[in-house]
Amino acid sequence: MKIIYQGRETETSAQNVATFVDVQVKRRSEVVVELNGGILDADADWSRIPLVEGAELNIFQIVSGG
Amino acid sequence: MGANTYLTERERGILEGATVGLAGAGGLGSNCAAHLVRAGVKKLVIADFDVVSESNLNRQFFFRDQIGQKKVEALAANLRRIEPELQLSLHDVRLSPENADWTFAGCAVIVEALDSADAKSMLLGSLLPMGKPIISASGIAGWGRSCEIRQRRIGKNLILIGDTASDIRNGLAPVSPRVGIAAAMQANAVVALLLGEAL
Repeated sequence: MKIIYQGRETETSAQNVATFVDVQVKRRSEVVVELNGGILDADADWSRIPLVEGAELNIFQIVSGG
Repeated sequence: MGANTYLTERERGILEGATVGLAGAGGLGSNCAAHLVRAGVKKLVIADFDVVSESNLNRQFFFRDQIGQKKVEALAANLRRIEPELQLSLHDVRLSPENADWTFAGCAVIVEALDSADAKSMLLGSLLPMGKPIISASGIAGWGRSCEIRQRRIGKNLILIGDTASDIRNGLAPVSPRVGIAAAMQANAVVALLLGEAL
């Protein structure tokens, strides 16, 4: 299956958002995930959110400093 | 008359009428607040639990004789030197999921200006459900690489400013120029949002 990840066409076998995100980041609590233009609720069960062909997914890292 | 005499009466009216929330009064928050007040914003809700320390003076809008003072009170005093007629709601409090939403309930837009990644994530998780615009920052440590500090819109209500990588936990120091760039970009985004311009 191909999705658009960080603006680039990406092949993945992940069937849900949790599986995909956990491969990309160390701590889910330190990212903001955008799926098809909306921000995912950090407290939601991302394993119940399916990834489908053509989905647009972006992950933004939250790092310390202010 | 607001502080900014370069704006039209309509523009001044919009900026003076809006309430802007500042979650944090450190490097990002204190400098962002100064930009907002100079731009013409008069109503601010400012929340921070900390006191001014010597290590803050390398980047934060405080002065040596304010060391030991509550940041919200010291910042209020400094902002009133720019514009005496401010309406400031000061909250000497550590923001949490229990108090973040009501602290900023009356704000048109909220600036996330916290320090740690955990606190930033907590605040975004608490405030995004409110449906209000949030101007956050991630990746501002170190020096140089000015053009890597970008502004991104994420979803409908989140504007993220920074390079999303430069982390103080990786040994990068928080230094005035880069923190100041991000703070100015946060203020710039607030002004543009309030004046109805596309970001």
